[in-house]
Amino acid sequence: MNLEIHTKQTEEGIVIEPAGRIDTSTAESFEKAVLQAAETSSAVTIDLQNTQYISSAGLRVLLLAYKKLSGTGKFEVIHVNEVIRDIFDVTGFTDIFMPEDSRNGQ
Amino acid sequence: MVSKSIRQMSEAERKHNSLSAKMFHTILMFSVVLSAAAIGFGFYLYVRSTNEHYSSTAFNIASTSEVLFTEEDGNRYADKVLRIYETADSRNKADDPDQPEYLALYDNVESDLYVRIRESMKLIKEYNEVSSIYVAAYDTKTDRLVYIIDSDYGTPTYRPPGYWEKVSAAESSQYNKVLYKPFVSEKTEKYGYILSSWNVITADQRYIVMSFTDIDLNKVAAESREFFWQYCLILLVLTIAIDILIVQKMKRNVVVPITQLNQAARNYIAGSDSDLAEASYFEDCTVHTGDELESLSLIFTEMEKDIHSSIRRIEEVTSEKERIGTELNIASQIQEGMLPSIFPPFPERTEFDIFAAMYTAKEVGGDFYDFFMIDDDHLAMIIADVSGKGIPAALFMMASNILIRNICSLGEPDPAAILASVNNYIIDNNPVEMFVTVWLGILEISTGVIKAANAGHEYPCLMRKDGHFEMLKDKHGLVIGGMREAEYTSYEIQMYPGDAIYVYTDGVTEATDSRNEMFGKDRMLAALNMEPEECIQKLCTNVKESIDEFVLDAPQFDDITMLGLRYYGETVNMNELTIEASIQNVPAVTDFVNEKLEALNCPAKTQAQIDIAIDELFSNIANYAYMPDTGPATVSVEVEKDPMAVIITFVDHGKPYDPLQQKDPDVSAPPEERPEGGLGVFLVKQIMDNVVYEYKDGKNILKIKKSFKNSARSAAQ
Repeated sequence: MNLEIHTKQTEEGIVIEPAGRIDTSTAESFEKAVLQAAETSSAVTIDLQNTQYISSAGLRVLLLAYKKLSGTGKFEVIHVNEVIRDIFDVTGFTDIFMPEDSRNGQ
Repeated sequence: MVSKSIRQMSEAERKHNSLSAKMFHTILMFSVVLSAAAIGFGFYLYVRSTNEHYSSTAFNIASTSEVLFTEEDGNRYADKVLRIYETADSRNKADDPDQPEYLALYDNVESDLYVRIRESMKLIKEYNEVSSIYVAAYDTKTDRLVYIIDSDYGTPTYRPPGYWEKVSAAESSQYNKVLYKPFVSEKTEKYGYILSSWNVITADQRYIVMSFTDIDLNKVAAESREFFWQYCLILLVLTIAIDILIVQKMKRNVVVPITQLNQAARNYIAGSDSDLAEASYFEDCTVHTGDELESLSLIFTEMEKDIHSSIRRIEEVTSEKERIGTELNIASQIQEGMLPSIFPPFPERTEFDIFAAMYTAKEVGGDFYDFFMIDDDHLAMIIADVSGKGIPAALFMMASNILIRNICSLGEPDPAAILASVNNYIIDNNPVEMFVTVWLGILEISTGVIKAANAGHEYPCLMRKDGHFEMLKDKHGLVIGGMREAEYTSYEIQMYPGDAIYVYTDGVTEATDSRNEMFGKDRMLAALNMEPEECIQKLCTNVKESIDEFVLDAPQFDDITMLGLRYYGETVNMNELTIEASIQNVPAVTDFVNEKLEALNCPAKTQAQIDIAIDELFSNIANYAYMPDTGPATVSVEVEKDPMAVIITFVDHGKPYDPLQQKDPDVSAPPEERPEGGLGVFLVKQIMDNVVYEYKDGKNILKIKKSFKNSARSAAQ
């Protein structure tokens, strides 16, 4: 399996740590975990420190989760590596998922 | 014996041992000996004749004085003196002859006549230049010589009558024998050397009266010495003069010609040392002695001419040899040019690997190998060995090679038929009855079948995958050029991927070491089986190295030729993956590509981007190309260098669909307005350098290209 997903409950909400690649073949389990978290908590953080890359299938999940939580709760993506940051940049997701980094101009 | 070269002989040595010096020494020595002999003999003769002269002179004088003494009645005086002496002696008064009383006894002896006789004798003495004339009696009883009359009267050596002298034993024996032989006294203190001669006048029982003549030999000896020195001087001058004459004559007649010959010979050697060929040294040397030396000189001249002509001949032969050598070299190059020698010869053919090598024993060889593609699916392999060696074998080899190649090229698929046809050509045009052994194999690449025929050639060696090389005892036909209408039989070898075949000439098995032992088939098989899985070139090298190790520095007698082929069959392209287009196979495709990328030291980031692109594109094919069914998709990886780039091609034969026609999403739209999908192709276009689509031969072909700088892959994972 190319992806392991660890989910933990913290004071600020649910933190999901996908380890590996989020691509077409793993996006489904990732989607499941994220949507489940969005159901149970209003604050969801995706920690990508152990994630190698995200393909469009993963981006779709992230956008889906954002749409679900943007009105009522809080959704953010942290610890983005260079590859994923590039992808966020070219697809316009940096501003959406990482407003702090975007403002800081990182 | 130490052999010495003329070049090692020093100038000083030569001078010291020169012929004229040796001759001079010899002549000098000879003349010294000769002179000494002449001096000795001449002096002996001189002394003898002198002695004889004086002896006879003395004897004659003695005779004369005897006659004088007798004529003048001298005997009276003798009797008178002897009587007085006898009386005095018997009274023992004669014991001291120097006593004046004794001598006074004889005073009345000296009468007038006595004085006259004495004066006459004195005259004779002076006339004949003798030292003394006297008459004396030898007293045999008392061994005394008693003087009777002495011509020395008035000189210190005068002996008065009655005076006696003791006679030595030597003298007395002379008197007793009464020999009329001159007598040379010993050197006496009184008189020195004296020659005495005497004549007996009267003799009785007791007394022998004799007339004496003494000659003083001291004077004679001085004369002899003078003569000796003069004689020596004359002889010396004469000898030197003769020596000089002889030396000069010998020099002119012997030494000078020999020196000339010697000089000519030395010039010749110096000339040949300094490559001044063709100069005639002996012809220029003029020896006209008319004897053996002249003939020797003429012989040398002749020999010199012979040597010159020999040298010219050798030069001609050498240059001819050089010319032949050059031509042989070119011939060898032509021959080498005939044989394919660039390996791998068909780099685009992955189905087999072929290698061949020939190590010729002489400049041109009689062995040959050849291989060539008859068409796209058929490879011909030939190995052959022409009988004999050198140029004839090479010519025959060229003809055979071209014939076999031509007949193969005509499209005849059966090796036996090809060999039969070649045989008939060669039989018709073979005046020198040469022959060639040939193994011909034609590999059908697609099926792996080798069709082969053997015309009297060595057995091939065959190796099955994972096995060992073994002799293949194939069916032999007659050698080519052996017999008209010879028939050959083809046989088939099915090659499977990994199998190998090795053919060779007898130069391999019959390579001989210094003990005349042959390399043999067993050693050859052992060499092949050292590393049987290695590439075919390595196998051939192993055999050659094994031969070299075995033979060491023994000379190579025969060409060593070998050809090997390993069959791989139709191979899958290692850079291509064909797989069912389904979502589940995405990891398999990314793994396949990642393996290639890792081998290229692709940076982790680039690799991640390529993985994303593969995910997007391969999932697209999986989801849409064969909908609702599934089908295969092929992913291939190509690598470009300078700059380093990978090109990944996705091929499917599903519905024609150009993903690049998709409209790009609006990435600046507020998130609420953005659709969740439709990002994939856009993303690929963004992170790849180039994306190209074409539809060709019923296939969707999508190529992506990404360049990178390869880096040492550290702990990027």
